[in-house]
Amino acid sequence: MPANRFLEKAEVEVYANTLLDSLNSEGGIDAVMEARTQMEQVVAYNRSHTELINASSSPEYSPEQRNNLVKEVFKGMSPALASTLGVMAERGGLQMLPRVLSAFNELIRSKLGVTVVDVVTRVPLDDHLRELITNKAHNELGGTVVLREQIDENMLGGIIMNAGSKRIDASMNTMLEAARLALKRA
Amino acid sequence: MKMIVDKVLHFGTSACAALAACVALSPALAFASGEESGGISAILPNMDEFIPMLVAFIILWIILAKFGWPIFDGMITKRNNTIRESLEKSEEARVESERVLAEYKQELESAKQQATQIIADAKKTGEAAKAGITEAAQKEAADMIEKARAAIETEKKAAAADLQSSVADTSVALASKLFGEGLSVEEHRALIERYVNEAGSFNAG
Repeated sequence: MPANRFLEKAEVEVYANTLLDSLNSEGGIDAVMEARTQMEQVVAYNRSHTELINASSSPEYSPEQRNNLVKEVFKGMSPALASTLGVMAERGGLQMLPRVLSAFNELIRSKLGVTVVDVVTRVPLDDHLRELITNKAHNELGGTVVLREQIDENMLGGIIMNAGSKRIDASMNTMLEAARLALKRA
Repeated sequence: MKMIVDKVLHFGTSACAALAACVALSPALAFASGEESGGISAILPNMDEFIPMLVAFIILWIILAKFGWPIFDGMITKRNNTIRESLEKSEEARVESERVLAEYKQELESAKQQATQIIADAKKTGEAAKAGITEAAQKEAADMIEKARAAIETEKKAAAADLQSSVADTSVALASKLFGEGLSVEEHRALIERYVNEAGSFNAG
């Protein structure tokens, strides 16, 4: 594992670049978006379960064993992603996955010219709303806008839009919470 | 004293011996002249008797003046000295007693003054203590009242805040219920459209 943070950053970029190129050449933007979703799921899982991270960095396993272990775990996912995760585990760098995901998102925008907007709503969007959101994101962020829709029934209403590190929270939950705090302070 | 008595007895013995000698020599002469005279001569001194008696008296007087008088004089002088010393001692005692009496009177007066002063001081101290206790009690009462007011004010504010919080929570819960269950899909979509149009920019903040 590289000790120098510049070396680590370079390694993260290599993983992200390799993965993006591989996915894009295999299946285009759809494959890229699918792998991105899968990578987010892995990152979310690793946040609450450290067993895989611990096993992939354990000296009790050889690099090949770690590679095979991770490939076996993620064999249902995109082959390019599973292969990349295997290499990362082999080199003891699976804990860098959140940074690889960030670099991957940046590359999607800078390399493919695609702006991915994650939209969370209580009810499914219709075409009119998709067009409205796409235009807004295109006008403000540029590039080809790809919407990733997610339904959250715990939301009271409204919409949350995330584009990388940029976020618009227009959900009713947030508005009512702000109103509740304002009423308590008044 | 014993020596004086001895001297007097010795002197008396000597004088009696001399007088006895004179008398022993003179009776024959006296009886002889008494038998020869009568009448007026009976009351007149018989020279034969008178002269020896006079001589004996003079001798006795001389002896007494020579030996007895100094002793009596010494006794009298000594007695005078004793009396004078006694008088002086009694005078000294009187003066001393007057001095002591004056001292006692002075001490008594001083004690009275001290007692008066002590009583006055005690009264003053008592008054001061009374004033201090009264002031402390008043201050404590004022503090308690102030604390009670502050506590009441705090309680009022807390109650108002609780009520306000409760009202806010209730209002938000009610609004949440209304929004969550009371809106149709189309109404939700209309709200989303409105929020997208009115929401801030991705590039803001």
